[in-house]
Amino acid sequence: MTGKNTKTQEEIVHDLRTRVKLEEYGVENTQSTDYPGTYEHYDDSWDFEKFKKNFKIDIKSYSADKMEMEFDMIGIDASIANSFRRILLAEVPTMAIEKVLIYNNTSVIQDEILAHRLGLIPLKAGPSKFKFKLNPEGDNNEDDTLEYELKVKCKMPKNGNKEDRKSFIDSKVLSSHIKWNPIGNQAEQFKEEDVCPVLGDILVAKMNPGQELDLKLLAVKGIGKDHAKFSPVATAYYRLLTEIVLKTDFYDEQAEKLKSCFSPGVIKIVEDKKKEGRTKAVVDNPRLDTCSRQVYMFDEFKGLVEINKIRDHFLFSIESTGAVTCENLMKESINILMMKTQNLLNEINSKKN
Amino acid sequence: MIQEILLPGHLYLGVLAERLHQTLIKLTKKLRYIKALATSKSSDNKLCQGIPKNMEICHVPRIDMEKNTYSLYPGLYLFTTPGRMMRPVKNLMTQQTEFIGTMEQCYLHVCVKPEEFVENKTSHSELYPYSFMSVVACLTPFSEFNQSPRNMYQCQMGKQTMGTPCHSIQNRADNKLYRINFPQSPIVRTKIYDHYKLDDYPLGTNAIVAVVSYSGYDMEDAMILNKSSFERGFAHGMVYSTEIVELNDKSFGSSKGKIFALDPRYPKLGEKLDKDGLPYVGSIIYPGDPFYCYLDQNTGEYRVQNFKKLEKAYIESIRALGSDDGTDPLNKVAIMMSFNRNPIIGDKFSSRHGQKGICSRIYPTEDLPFTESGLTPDIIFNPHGFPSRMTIGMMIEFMAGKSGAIYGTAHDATPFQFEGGQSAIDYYGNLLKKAGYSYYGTESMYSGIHGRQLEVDIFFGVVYYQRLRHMVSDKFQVRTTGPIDVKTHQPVKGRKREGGIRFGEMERDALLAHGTAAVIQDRLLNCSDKTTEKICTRCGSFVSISKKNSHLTCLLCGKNDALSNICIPYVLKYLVAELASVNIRVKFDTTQARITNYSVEP
Repeated sequence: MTGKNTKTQEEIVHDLRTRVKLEEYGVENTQSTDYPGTYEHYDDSWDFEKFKKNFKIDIKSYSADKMEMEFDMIGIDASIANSFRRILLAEVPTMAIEKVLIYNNTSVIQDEILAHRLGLIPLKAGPSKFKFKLNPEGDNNEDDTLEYELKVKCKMPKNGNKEDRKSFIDSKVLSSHIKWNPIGNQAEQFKEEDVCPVLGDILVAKMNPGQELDLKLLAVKGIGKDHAKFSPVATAYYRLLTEIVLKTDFYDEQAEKLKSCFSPGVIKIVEDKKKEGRTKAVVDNPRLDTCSRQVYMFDEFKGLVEINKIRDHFLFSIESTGAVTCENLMKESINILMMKTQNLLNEINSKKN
Repeated sequence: MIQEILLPGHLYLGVLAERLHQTLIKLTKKLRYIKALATSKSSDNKLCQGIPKNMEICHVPRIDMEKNTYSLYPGLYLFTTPGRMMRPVKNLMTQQTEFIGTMEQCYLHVCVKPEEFVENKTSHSELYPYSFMSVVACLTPFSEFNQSPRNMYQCQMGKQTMGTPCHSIQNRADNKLYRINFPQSPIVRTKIYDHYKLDDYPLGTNAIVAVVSYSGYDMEDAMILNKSSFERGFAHGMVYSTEIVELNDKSFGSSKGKIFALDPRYPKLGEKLDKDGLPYVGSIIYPGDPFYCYLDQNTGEYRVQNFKKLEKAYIESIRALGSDDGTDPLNKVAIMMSFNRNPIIGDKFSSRHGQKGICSRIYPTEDLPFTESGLTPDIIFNPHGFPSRMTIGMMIEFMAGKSGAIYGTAHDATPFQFEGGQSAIDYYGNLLKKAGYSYYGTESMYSGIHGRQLEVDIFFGVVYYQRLRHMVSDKFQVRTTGPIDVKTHQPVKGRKREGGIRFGEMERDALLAHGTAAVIQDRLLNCSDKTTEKICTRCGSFVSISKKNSHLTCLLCGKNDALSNICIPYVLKYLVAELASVNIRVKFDTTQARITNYSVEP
């Protein structure tokens, strides 16, 4: 067994270059070291053709409503992958309610809390069709502001019972109560369902009969850096692909035990073709592993199972809040990154002269 | 010899002296039996009549059998008066709950666990193992794992949380009331939470916490808050306060005849105040804005009072008060205001384990570390908070809270339930393991800044965090220049008056020890009461200088040829003047002084 498990110098260097090693109590080799000059006999200089050959995007799942996407991004450095994540969270713009004009609010919820809650409701309005409103005190134009109205009055039904809260009409103020008021030529450009809240069943406030809300809501374009309500994603994150190496074969009970050490679906038990009547553990889907590393808790597996992460294989996942589809979010984030690098280039070039 | 057992005024029974001890024991037992029966509701036993269920039966034996000593006041004491403190325990004879008093319990053997039972001695057992703890102490989950001082700290801090004080805020007129806006019921909770229905009065939020030293802003009990969590409502709070305005306040000696009214001469006032001279309900009022306006009917003058508080306020409600019969004109109101108190740098937070911390930075989400499942923490807690404080209960709460969040259940964290059997850590560790998480509650994370995986595993979980009512906006003090004292010309003290912080003798001593003379001069002279005075260098006096025929002259010398300017603290002049008033002359030797200006003013 030992002979099989000792690695050659070449294998060790290869691991060092491409793998993050998960140990029992920590993580090793998290940094990428494949820079020119680090290793002998390796050409690590950056080359576009080489990058083109190695780089791959593989969409693993994409929900039918285009709100959730998981894809693999292979052959890229963590800094770039992280840039996309950061841009998605903080710099891709969306529309959100920014100003609430309160004409009447007799409900128990305070004005400022109500306004805060309304601001967090995601809107369907496509941000690309609007401009940033540069002067917050300026006029509301058709190309930078969306206007909504929330006018609800809770009523008691005829012959209603005071105790029966469920019978009250409009006791629950929902996001579906928000109505759009087109300004300028917006009526020709959009339909109500293009700009309304993503979900109609978000609870905004609760009222008793006689209480009412009369509000005007103004939505503008903004970015997540300014306020979380402008963030286009519920979350966007990545993780590295896990690689599980079984250095020896595990059979029967031991195989079952090994299986229980990983998340369901990671290890599969198959019948061993060579040895009849015996079952064997094989790695099935390492993507599902949550890196709990239970396997290291048992002495019998120590040294025989190796868990690695492939350093340039990112399992990216994006959950949109509803305004922009995941693919457009990703495209937009690439555009923003390109714009930023172009700005930097221009800056450098202007200094040169 | 016959011994008499007496109840106040009446001979109850007489027994032989040698049988007294046994008789008293029997009697006590019997009385207790009847008392315990009386406690149960269903009992209509005739025996119980006349024995109150809250009677204290205390038998002090003549000889303490265990210590073999004589008791000081032997006898059988029965208390039935009101106003005694009593507590429930289980009577093992009748298996019913019995209330025992403070003196009585000293002569009873009450066991906590069944193992502690002693034959012919133990008569009662505690209802719960945590019976000895107060309500606030019972609110700490897993408190038996904590170092005991930490539990005491939590008992102090539990009372300082911003929570849900009542559900009738609109109808109240409290001086000050703290409240959080998006409270949650704790995932990890003790039985007391249900018993006292504390979910109706929640006092915190289940926060996602990572124990990591990240960015250095979490040093020394500081904690980092997630900006997105904050923007989505985490720990948002408010303060209500009520100001009662009484125009015809007799204690100020003002006459009657003042009523609230809007000054018609200034139409701009109408933007801030309603027709009755009071602010609009629901409006925002800034410091310095007009607060109310009234008419003095005696003089016919209108007066506007400005808003004196240092923060912007929302007008919640205005209630007209007045005489009891309601016939008075509008001259007394209660104005309820609310102040926004969303967390800012410097606000205080605490978990339920005496682990308080100050928010030192509100960090953008994209910069915070994230887990394999894409979770970013709401709060970053520094790992150095654990070793010296030994709040293991908090660590268990991390794991219990995490597993509760995963499985969608609330966990019972009542103390003393993990005795003997499986350990708490093993129980929650296994729950986490089953869900695919690490047994130890740790998770591997990625840095939000450079995107690489962190080299250590991070202890990550859900902890119930409380917002404490000590907030910077109530405490910060700032002064460059500002109001000074009339008498001494030194800066005044007090936050409200925009005053300074006292630089006292000890502070002076410290600077002396450092040899920083310039700093001392800066603090005690230049930034305080520096003044330039005329002094007569001949007689050494500066209180004698006055104008004579429009010329400054020293009245003592009668000449003006030796006048010069000198830089002194203003209090010195005050001191010299005070001393002069009691006939003490102070003479200054100016030969060593650095005289700044020799020229004599015309």
